[in-house]
Amino acid sequence: MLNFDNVSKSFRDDFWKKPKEVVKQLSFSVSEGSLCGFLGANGAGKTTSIKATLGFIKIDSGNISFNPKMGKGAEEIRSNLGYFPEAPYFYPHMTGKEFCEYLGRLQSVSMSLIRERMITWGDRLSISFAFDRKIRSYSKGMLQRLGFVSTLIHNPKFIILDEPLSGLDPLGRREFKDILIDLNKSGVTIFFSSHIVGDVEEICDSLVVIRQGELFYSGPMEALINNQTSKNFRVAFSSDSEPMHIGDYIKVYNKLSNTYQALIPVDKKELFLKDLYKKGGDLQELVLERLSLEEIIYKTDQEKGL
Amino acid sequence: MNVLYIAAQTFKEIYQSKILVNILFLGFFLFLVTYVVSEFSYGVANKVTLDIGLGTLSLSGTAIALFLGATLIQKEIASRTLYMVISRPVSRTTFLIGKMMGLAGILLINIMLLFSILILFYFLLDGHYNYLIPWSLLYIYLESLLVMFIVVFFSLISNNIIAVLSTLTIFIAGHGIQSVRETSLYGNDHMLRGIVDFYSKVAPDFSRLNIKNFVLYEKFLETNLLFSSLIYASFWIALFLILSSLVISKKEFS
Repeated sequence: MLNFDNVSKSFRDDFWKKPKEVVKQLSFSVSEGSLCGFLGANGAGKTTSIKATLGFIKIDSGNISFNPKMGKGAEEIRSNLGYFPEAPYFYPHMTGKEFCEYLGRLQSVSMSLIRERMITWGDRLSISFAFDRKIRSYSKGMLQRLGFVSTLIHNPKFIILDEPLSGLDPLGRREFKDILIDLNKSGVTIFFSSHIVGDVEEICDSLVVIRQGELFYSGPMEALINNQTSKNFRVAFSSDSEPMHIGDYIKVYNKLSNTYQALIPVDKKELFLKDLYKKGGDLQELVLERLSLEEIIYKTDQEKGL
Repeated sequence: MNVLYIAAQTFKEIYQSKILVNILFLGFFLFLVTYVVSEFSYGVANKVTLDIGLGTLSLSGTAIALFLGATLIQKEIASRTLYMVISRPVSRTTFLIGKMMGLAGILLINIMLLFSILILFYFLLDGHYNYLIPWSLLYIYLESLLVMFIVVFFSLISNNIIAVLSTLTIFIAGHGIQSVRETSLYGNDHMLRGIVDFYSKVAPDFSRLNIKNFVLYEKFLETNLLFSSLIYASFWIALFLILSSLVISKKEFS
């Protein structure tokens, strides 16, 4: 749906200063129908990449392209694109209804469809009650909800969200995440930027991770987690007899409960289980040890000294 | 159609900012002046009213164009509401034209309402119709439009304060050109003549839009002269629109 090919972008703080490269030779792609997370620390280049995608800023080199299904020209592409900025920006003199109608009309959506979608999404995002109020009276969470309604008002094929969950309470976060999952199930491609790893891990199927403007990882979420996972089973068992020949792997022995905890390599699992049952042992837990995405990112950051 | 939605939204936004309240103040000012001059200027009260009224109209239109024009696009950039619009299928030029059309609408309403008050007092004081009165109204409107297009252009390449100051300089210099030409120094000093003539070629000559004296003293102005000034103002408006459009289409909104 979206393809970044060796994209670089630099900014100059001052006319006399050397330009600072914020995005460096960045290449990745977001496949059609995916719910792709875009991860990176603050200042990693996520918002710059999104602004370049939307044409707010021009890239120094490389190419950003969209799937031909999105349309040919820039305007046709934007008519199929939904954008939700980090902090949605509003006209405070308007009511929520006027704002949605204004943006909907700019997308050439008929007034009847705009009203229909406002009811659908307004109810789903619990903001319908405030549509007739001036935006200046909205709280931050309400603004986020209204911004999301306005993003969905033209039924986009591809949605780009920049930190959509910031400023939301836990219930609001849950609602937003559920909507993103539902939208994705209905065929909408979603590119979702965040610096909160947990949110991305929870809902995304693929991932783009950038560090200091450079690509760290791009691909399916599972592949990254599996590659970084230690290939061990965490086991807990009790046994009256002496521990089996897997003694090297025993980590903890609790005398009182007569239980052992161990990390067994994946290839030793069958042997371990055979021995355990032969000696009348009782298996209490057998779990494939798996790092969370957050742990992987933290671990690799430490390894790289970042 | 998008240009009309943006224009309507801009018009509504400015209208709700209560800028048109100035009409009440200026209308009251006109009423006061009319009363005072009718007491002191025996026989020519209507002319004095028309003189002050047209001056007030021009000043009001220019001030609104200048101060609202300077923030017209800048405010959208600073508050980033621009992102919400240009991420839709709206070209930057469409956005620019829509915003300008909205402000042009406000300027038109402002001038028409003030003119209605003025013309009411003028006829109440036994003033009579002169074919140049509607032309002067049109020129005042064109003058405020030109100020708006200039200040928007400067606001896109600098900041609000520089934009206002630069436009004000062009406006004052543009109005002063004719006065300088009427001095003897202009006729005698080759260098001054060269500078003034050069300036009038590279910057708008606002004095071509000032026909107040012709209206007041009921002088005759040929139709082709009236139309040539109209074309002249339209040329400068188009030029500043093209320049602003080029700037905004290249501008980075980071």
